[in-house]
Amino acid sequence: MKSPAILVEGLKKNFGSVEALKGVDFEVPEGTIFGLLGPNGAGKTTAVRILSTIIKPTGGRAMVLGYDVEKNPGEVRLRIGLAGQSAAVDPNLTGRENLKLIGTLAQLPRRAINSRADELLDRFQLVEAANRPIRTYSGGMRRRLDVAAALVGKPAVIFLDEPTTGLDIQSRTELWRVIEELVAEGSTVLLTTQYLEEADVLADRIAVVHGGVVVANDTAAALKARLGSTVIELTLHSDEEARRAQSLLARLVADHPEREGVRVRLSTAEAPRVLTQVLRSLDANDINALGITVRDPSLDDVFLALTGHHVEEKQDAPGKPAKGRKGHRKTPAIEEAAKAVDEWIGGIEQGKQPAVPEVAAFDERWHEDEDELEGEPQTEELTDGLSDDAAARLQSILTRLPYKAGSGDVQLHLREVAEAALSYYRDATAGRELDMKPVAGYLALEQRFGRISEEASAEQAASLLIGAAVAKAVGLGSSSGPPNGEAADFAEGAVRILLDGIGERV
Amino acid sequence: MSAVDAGRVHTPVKGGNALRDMLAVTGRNLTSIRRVPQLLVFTLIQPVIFVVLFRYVMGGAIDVPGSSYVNYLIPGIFIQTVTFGALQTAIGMAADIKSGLLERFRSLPMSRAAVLAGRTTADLFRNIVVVALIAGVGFLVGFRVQTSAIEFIGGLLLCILFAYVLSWVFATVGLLVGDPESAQAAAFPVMAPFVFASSAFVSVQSMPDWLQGFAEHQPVSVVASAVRALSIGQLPGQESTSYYVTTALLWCAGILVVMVPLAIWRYRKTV
Repeated sequence: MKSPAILVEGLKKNFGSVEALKGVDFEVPEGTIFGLLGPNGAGKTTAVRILSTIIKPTGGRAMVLGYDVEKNPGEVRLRIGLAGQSAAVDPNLTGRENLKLIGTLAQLPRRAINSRADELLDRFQLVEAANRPIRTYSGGMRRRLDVAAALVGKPAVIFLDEPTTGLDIQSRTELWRVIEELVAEGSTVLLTTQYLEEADVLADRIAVVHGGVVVANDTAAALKARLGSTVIELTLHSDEEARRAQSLLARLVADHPEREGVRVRLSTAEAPRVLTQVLRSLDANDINALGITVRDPSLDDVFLALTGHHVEEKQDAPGKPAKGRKGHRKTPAIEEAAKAVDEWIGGIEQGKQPAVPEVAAFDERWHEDEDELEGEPQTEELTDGLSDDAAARLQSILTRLPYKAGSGDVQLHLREVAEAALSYYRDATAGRELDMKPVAGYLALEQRFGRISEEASAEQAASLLIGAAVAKAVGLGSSSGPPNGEAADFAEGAVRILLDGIGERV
Repeated sequence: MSAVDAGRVHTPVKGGNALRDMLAVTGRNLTSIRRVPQLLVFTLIQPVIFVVLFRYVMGGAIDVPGSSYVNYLIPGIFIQTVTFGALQTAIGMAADIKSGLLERFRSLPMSRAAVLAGRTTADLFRNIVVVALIAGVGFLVGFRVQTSAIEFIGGLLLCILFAYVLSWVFATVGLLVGDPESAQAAAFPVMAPFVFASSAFVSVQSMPDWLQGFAEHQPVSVVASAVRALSIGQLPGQESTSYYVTTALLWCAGILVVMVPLAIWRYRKTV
């Protein structure tokens, strides 16, 4: 049997009193892609930094192609490439200059450097931008160059530390293609990611990291089988109703449904059958769900299933120097809306009709527009300024978006939220001040239901929510119609675009 | 793995070539300086303002026996410029840490010393340009060499040597702070007393007694006095040219002996 390309045994790393890695084991066979999946602060980047000889472990052993990273870092460095969070390119140098610099420092012979740089620029579709400083590149271009830089020395082992975080769907798919090519050529890739989907698409094996330990190490298929392939999530009007729903649903599925506040969540491998039964059962027992989401399991679901905890975002991961971060901000519009929603929900709980002008206006508009909206949605305005491909994609998705989610008293106007998401995205990319008003009501509602933390900055929360709203809308669209991977992609992409937009601003 | 190894275009040499690495990093830093010319321009605007202010606003009130105030001032401006300019080294170093570029360097099979050597060498070139430009400005506002051309060139070289020494000091500062904004904020208060409580702009004898001891012997003063002595000769009431030059060289050597190992040690720890 061949020795593994990467071997990690009992790897520990402390930063002061913080234990970033508490004894991690895994191995990666040659010519495969291995995914380290986990949230910020899980220890993924720390593991990559140790394996790429940037920092030394506190304990344990890490071997790359048979060389100990601590005892033989020189040998390791000759055989690895690093891209992503832990590595960077010089913004003032052009793409070609960066590749040539890395080529020189990777000890390529002078005559090989130019041809290698040309080859990579061509492969990553950066030929036209080759002679422009990196600071003029878009996020996707910069990330492609970053990965290209990792490949200059033709390394046998490549570390990609969250290579697609913050990329739009198109750039992400392109990068995925390149990563798959690398492995086809015989390289071994260690990929870290926060996205289950990414690990699922690319990795032969996935190790789920949480709090500095590996909580699962398996193939993507096996991990998903453990989770059940589909998550059904119900939002109800009250805790009491949610408890009733939970006990009803417990009779329908083998796994016990989980409840958190007004939400009930269950995983199933037989979504169509279970969903039908869930709806029938709710209807028969006179329970009106506020919202229903049907989706693929997310990283959060994986964690919930494996650890019993939600993903905890550690903002200042010890593996990386802390970056300045603005504190909690709430815009007046959101505070106002939050108050309004509180009053409104208070009213509903006492059996009254909603009497909050903002919400009422929202509702009224919905009814007025209902007939009109039944027809073809007006999407020209929304697709304005997008590339042809993106516009076509968006148009096809918008025509399938449902106009409302859930039933009963509260109607979430997901289409409106999706529209807000797009204008928000455009503002963010154009560097304009973000207008929070269109989403304020929705935000407040979500905060009220505890789906986002009050600690999150308004913009962060908004971006997450809008993305989630789009995802939810698309998810609903797919539950009533045929499964729609493209729509899910769009939703996921929207979340990332928004997060990226925010990431650069916060 | 054979597929990949066969694709390798060369047999990697362990340790690589330190000189080639250093030149590559130097080239990269010089390109960065060229791509962001604002930095160099701002480095130069301040000394020009100082020259104009001191020369024309205060120059009339300051009497320099044996010479003129402009002749006294310009050597001081050389030292002031390279001292404040050394901040760029700290900022550049800190920016490379913050951006993660040093982390990538760390993962490459390159010489460990190349990053610091490349940074200080690039700054050496920058300082040569800066000193030449300030000399030009000096001549424009009436500065005249009162010694020989060889002594004056010796003075400029001493100035550039001092700048090189400072770049090791501030590379360490950059490594310690790790953030460009903080580097700027941290370095200025430390630099200001050295530059202003010195013989750079006015004679130390005009300062209160308690300050004179420091102002007379601290490195910025000594080097400024040495460059001045090499440019306009020994002034009345001052030590001899050879005293200043020897002391200045001793300071430079002393600082290098301490700072180079410190910077390297810090570099190994930081990244």
